[in-house]
Amino acid sequence: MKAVSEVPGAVGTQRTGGMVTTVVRVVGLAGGLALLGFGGYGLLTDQYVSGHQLQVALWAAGAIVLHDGVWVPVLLAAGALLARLVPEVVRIPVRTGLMVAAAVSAVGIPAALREHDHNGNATLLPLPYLRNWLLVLLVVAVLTGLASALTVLRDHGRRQQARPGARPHAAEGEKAAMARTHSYRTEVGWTGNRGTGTSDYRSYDRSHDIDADGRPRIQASSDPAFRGDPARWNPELLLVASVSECHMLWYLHYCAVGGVVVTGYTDAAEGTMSEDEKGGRFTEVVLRPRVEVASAEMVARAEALHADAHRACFIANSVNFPVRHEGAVTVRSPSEAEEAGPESGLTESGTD
Amino acid sequence: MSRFPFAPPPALRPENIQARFRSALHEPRTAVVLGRWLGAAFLVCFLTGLISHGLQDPPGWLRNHLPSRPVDGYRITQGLHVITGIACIPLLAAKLWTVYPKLFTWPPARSVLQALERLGIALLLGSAVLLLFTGLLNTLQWYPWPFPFRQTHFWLAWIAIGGLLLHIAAKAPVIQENWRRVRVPVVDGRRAFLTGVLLSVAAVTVVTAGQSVPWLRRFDLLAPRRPDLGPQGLPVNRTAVAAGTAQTSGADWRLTVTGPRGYTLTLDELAALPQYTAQLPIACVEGWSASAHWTGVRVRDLLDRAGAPESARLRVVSLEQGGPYRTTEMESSYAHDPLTLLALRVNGEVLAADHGFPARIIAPNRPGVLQTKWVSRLEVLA
Repeated sequence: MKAVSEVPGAVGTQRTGGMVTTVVRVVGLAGGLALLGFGGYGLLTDQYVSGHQLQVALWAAGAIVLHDGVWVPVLLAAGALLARLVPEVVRIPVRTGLMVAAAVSAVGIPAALREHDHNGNATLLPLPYLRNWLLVLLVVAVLTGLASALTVLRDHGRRQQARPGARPHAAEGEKAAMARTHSYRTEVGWTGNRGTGTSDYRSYDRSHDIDADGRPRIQASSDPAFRGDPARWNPELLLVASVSECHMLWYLHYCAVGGVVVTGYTDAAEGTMSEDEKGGRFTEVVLRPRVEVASAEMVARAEALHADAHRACFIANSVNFPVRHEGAVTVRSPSEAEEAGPESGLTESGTD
Repeated sequence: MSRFPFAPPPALRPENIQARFRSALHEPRTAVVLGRWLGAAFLVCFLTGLISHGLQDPPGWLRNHLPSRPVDGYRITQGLHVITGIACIPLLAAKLWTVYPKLFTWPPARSVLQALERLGIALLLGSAVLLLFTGLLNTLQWYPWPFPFRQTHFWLAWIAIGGLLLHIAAKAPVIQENWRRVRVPVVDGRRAFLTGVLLSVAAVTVVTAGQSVPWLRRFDLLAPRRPDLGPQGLPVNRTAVAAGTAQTSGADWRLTVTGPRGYTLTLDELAALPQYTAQLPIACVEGWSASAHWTGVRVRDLLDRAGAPESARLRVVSLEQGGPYRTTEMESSYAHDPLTLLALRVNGEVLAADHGFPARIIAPNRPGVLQTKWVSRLEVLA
């Protein structure tokens, strides 16, 4: 796998980081192999371990099998059950309580099992471990209950503040403990008054300007189906574009931190809106990202990361219609991408 | 993109399996944060383990350089060894849960290098889990496995640390990209999850660390020892019954010191020599430790009386019927330390049989198993 910082166009700070990374890799590789070799040699030649090496290997393999094949599946099932049974508002305190309980049990259960088994040495395991373990679990349960109650109360208070009619930025001053909030301001100005205003539905243009602090103006209109100007952007296109670009930005991020070098990305996205008697709504947006990565071993990871990007996408998380993605990943090395130039391959506008 | 002839059906294709892990926390930043904590804990465990090994079983080149100070050195390093080892249990579990979807990478490897990397992870995982398991059960003196504990634990530690270094080398770019929080986006629930992991670490620490940390003693609910429970308020590792020394009579006992001017003393004669009192911990590799006031004769005085040179090492022989620590060796730095005693009393009382009556060694910065009890001979070695 290529270091991320080797991608053409990496910024300066990443290049310094790349140096550190290279040093870490060389030292880690050499030192790791040396220590591994020393440990393996010791295990094979130690006179006390002699004759037991196969047992050690089997126990280590058994540890992996039990952990990956039994413990984690149980944990995942517990997580799925938690998501289904526990209301979301208290899920974090309940999950935290279960984590603490599991950790305490890992040290408590072995002691409880051996409670009376001290080989004639009464100073070994001198405590009532079964009782103590249950006591600790009880304390964890009580604290979890208290934390859950507090969370419910706080959530209730927040709902009160955010009820309809309250000013949208009222929450900004409040110190939201859970997450950072961001606000976005845009200005839309209607430019379509032909002199008679909206005296008649045929008497005005749908054209308007969209502005946002210092950015290029977007000249927009409505969908031509609703008497709009086909040469201009419209809200439906902007919505689809918004979903598409948000997905791409998250996707590029996950690739960057996940060791996948993306060399090209185009997305011919398509949204479907259906009208009804009240107005209408989007029923679906399909993203068709075509991704190019630097080498073949990144393909599987690159395909999988769409799911991560989808889960994280601010816009997809905020809309009430499904956002699907039908991605395709192909391989093209960074040098090829440079030779071909940034324009090549971008034939689809994604907005037609 | 290469497709294998034995490609699994769509529902079991790797990208589909990986996509079924719904939690947003199977992501690199969470893994890097947990990895940092776990790596630090592993390093502490490894180094403190090496210290214990060096003191208990010094290689030849180290033998004459073992320090008898700081007095609490062994107690602190081994207390830390077990505390960080126990902390590793929730840390390792959380780290492995976070990266678990990676197990389903398909095909298992796309290059020889990647295959070796995954093999390295298998070595790291197998040795790490086995280290924590055997370490925890050793503190309970529970040995359900067929191989020797101490040597296996020692060599597996080298394999785990080597595997860890390889793992860090392989993941260096991902680690670098996710090292600082400002460079990665907020993921819902990450902070809550990491807080939960820290709370788990805090919980297991609080309920066990009291066996070595005095001010946590009142919360010692699940540790295998309580430092104030035992004969004369001190725990023991080997009882007089187990050692076959329960019937030792003070009247018949003799201390033999061999050397240029060897001699033999009765218990009364020994008690008539100048007595010193030192506050020293008895500290075990299993993590527990307890401090006590020990009173007895300084070992250096006994050696001087035998005409031993300053550089002399010592062999200590016990009345024990057997066992690996029936005879122990003591380096000159310990033998000549003014705090090292052949103790006859603890906290003002004559030693109980379980504490080594009539006489035992107690020295600063020394593993508990080398604080030989039921001493009958001191042999000056050239």
